[in-house]
Amino acid sequence: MFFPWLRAIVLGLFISSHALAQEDTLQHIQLEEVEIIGRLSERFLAGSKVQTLNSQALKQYASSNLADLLQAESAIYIKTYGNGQLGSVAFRGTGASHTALLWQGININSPTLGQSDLGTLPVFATDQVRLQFGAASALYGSDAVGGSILLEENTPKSPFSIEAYTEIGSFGRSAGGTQIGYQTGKFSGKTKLYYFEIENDFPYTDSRNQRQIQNNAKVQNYGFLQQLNYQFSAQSTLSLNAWYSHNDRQIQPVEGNTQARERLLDENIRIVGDYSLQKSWGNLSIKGAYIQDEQIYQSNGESQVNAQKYAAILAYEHQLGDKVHLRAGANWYHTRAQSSNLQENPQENRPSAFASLRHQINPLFALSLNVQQTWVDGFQVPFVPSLGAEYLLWKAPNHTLTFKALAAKSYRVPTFNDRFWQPGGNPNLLPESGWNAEGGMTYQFENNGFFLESELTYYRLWVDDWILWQPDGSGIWSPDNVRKVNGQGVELGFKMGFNTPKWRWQAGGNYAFTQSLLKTEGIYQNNQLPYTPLHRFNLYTHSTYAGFSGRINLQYTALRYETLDNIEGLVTSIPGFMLANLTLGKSIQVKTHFFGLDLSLNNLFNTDYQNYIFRAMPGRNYQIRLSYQL
Amino acid sequence: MKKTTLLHNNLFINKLKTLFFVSLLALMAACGESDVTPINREADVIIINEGNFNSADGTISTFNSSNNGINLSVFAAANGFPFAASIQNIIEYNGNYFAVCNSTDKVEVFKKEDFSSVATIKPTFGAAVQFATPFSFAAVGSQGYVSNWGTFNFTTFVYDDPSLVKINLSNFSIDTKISLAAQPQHLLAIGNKIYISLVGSNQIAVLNTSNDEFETPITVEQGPDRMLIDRNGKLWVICTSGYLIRINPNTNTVEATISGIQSSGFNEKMVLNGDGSTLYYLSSAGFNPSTGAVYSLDITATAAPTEAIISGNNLYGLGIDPVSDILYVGDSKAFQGNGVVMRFDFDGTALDTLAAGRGPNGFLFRK
Repeated sequence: MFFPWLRAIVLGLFISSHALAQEDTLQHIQLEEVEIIGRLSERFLAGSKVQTLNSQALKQYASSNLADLLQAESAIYIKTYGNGQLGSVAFRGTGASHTALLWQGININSPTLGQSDLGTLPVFATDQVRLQFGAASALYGSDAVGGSILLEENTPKSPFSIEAYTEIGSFGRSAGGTQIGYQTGKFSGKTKLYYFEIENDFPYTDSRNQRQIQNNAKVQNYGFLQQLNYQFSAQSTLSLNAWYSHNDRQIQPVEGNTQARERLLDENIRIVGDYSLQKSWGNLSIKGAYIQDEQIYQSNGESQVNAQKYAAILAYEHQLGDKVHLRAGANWYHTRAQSSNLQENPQENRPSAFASLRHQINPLFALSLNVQQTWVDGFQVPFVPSLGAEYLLWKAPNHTLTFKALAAKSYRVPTFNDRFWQPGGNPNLLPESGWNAEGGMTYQFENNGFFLESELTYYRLWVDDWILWQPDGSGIWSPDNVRKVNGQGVELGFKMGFNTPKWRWQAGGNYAFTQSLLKTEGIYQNNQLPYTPLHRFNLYTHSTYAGFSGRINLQYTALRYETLDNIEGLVTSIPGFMLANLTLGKSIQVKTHFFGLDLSLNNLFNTDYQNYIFRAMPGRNYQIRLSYQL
Repeated sequence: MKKTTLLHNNLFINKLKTLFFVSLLALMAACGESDVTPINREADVIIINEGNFNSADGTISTFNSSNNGINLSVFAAANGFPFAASIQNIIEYNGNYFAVCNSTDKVEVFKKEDFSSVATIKPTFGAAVQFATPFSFAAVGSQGYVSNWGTFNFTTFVYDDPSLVKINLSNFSIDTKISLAAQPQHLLAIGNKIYISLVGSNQIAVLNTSNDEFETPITVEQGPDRMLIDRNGKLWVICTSGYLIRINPNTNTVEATISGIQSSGFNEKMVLNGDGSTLYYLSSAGFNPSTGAVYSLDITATAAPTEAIISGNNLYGLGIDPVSDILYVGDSKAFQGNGVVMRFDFDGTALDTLAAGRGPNGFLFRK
């Protein structure tokens, strides 16, 4: 048994929790509307496409990682190297390094890799997941080229609450998590604990049509999160979030490689402190953060990379009259990394100044302008503006039709690995730079408990000086500013549902058409980038009736090319695949206690598929989950 | 009544089946007549496309020099499945090709004639003898030998436990492991001996296959790599440190050392022309693009050539047609997609360019 003490704590809490006396609250129904301290107001995102993931989905995927969640609930392509394995995100046909991933407003991308492995981020650890599409460097700095993922922790609003679950599933899967929230007087806080493990010894059919059992793909992780808030007054709050996570994965090899024994160990500590003050002269937000990443790669011998990031953000927001909102401030990141693979131990200072303005020109028309200038040791980072607009085209009692547009500049600073990796690092790299332009419409309809929200976006994006690793004359891979990429695409999203006293029904989906073409001169010019599916969609429907619930989601990923040749074939492309997951549940309420039992069937049609070439994925599999809420 | 209907239906189905098979046969025959046969048995040039290690997408492609026909994936076409590995080297022995693979460490054996799979040599999980980054192959009689770099040590940055793994060619099973003093590269069978270039040292090990005992090693320069036998029966070895060395394999003594060779410094590529009188080797250096050159050296020369006969970017593989002396040079296109093969006359005059797979690293000629 893995970490029996932790499991005992989680299970112990689960079993004993319903015995505790509680006050009557219904806060768990209202998860969507919880205040988040220190979060950037959406008023400065006019014109931007933002998708907030459904809280039901977060519950369904509580034991899974962010890669599985985004694959099922969005049309964004996630490249995963196996089940629960390394997973990287690619918004709008860009690369894994072109996404800013922020937790509590702090970019937590690895300073050495320049990206986040979504496989190491459990869904249970976060309360809200928002996806912001398109370039957003004017708001989030480096990496926000194709999109941004914003993870946020909610603040408890009731004296005492508990959420707990325990789960078992196919291929040696077991998971559990507990969240306890508390609030008394000026003090509130919450504690989360979670663990997950899967043996991943699933059967699959290899390319020779023989049945195999997957080897060396075991995943284990656990972690805890602690939030403490102190409200000095209605206007001023101090908040602290600390997250420890431990991830231990065997690296799933190419099919048929039974000798593999690679293993990756990640340990992360993330601490973010926020102080916010709301006064007549404006709102002040002060943030301090410390992020520590430790990664050990083991095969024969091992290689370790440690990195630390310190961040401070000061932001001031003020409303001028009833039409203009202003936000201005500065942030500072200091990062350092240590590894025997890195030349010396690199350090970097990255101060920035930023300003945002929202102008509600009239009740129908709003503009938001964001600018940011960052200074990085040894780099000329471009000044990055973004300008967004929203125009209410049509408003009737039940209908709203809004037009939106956005133009934004983006950049990505080369990572420590790009610059200092031994061997191969290239200290003379330039930052990548990009532009993004988009326009679209949102339509909303509401009548008698029925609602429909839909959004259509067309975008174009241009990325230049795209950093690419390629082999040199002595076979050593090295990065350089090689690629120029132009992309365009269409994104469609909708959500609809109705609520009656007994029935709740919701359905939704997203579709993305993604064209991402290499523009660098040469034989591959105008070809689609590898691992960029032209089509992707997800669809879901969720309904509850008298404590019964059912949720089906469907996801489709079109063919991906393995290389820039764009040739369909056994080793040059990976076929498209469609997956369906079904969850059936029953919950009962005893006074204020909610008990739930859910059965999930994943890959319902037992589809034989691969996400990454020659990396097997599991067929139909099951999970049973018991949950409790107070 | 029902029975007759059923019978009738069965007859009908049988008829349909017959029809189906006839049309299938016709279709196959038709295919056989066109020049897009799945497997071009006449193709005389075999191109080894290494593939990307992480993607395990190595392939074998062919070129027919008489009608310029290209087939990009003959192994998969012949067998219905891909290598699912990266391919380091292919060595012909007894009518079979032995492809030494990484990514999944294994040796794929397939027929020279039609590329049909003969065996996959791969240790079972937990077996005492394992491949560890296998690189090349040689055989004497029914004894095959696979050179293994060893397991890369991420703490010390060297390959641990370099070895030869012995294969029983009568049933393609793994026999024993023979430890080596340093990282091996190529193997060459001369008589009943296997010469092993120990690229991690300055020696060539010599194994007597009758008793699997090592003889006195030959000391050369640092990094002995690719080995060849010239028209006079002399053994040539190119060293990563920039030397070409001629050895008398009868006495295992060094006869000549040519310094100042523009070697690549890793996985050297060297070939010999049809009559065994001229060596061609590849040199690569630099980055984005990596620039490469091909040099030629007469076996009677005493000094390194100073002028390259071919130069280009991302040069990765080298071959020479033993009949026509046409040079085949693989361009890896930095592994961003499929590579190409450029053809040149023996003196470096460009002829044409052919499509290839990912990372063309070597050539075999079926004559």
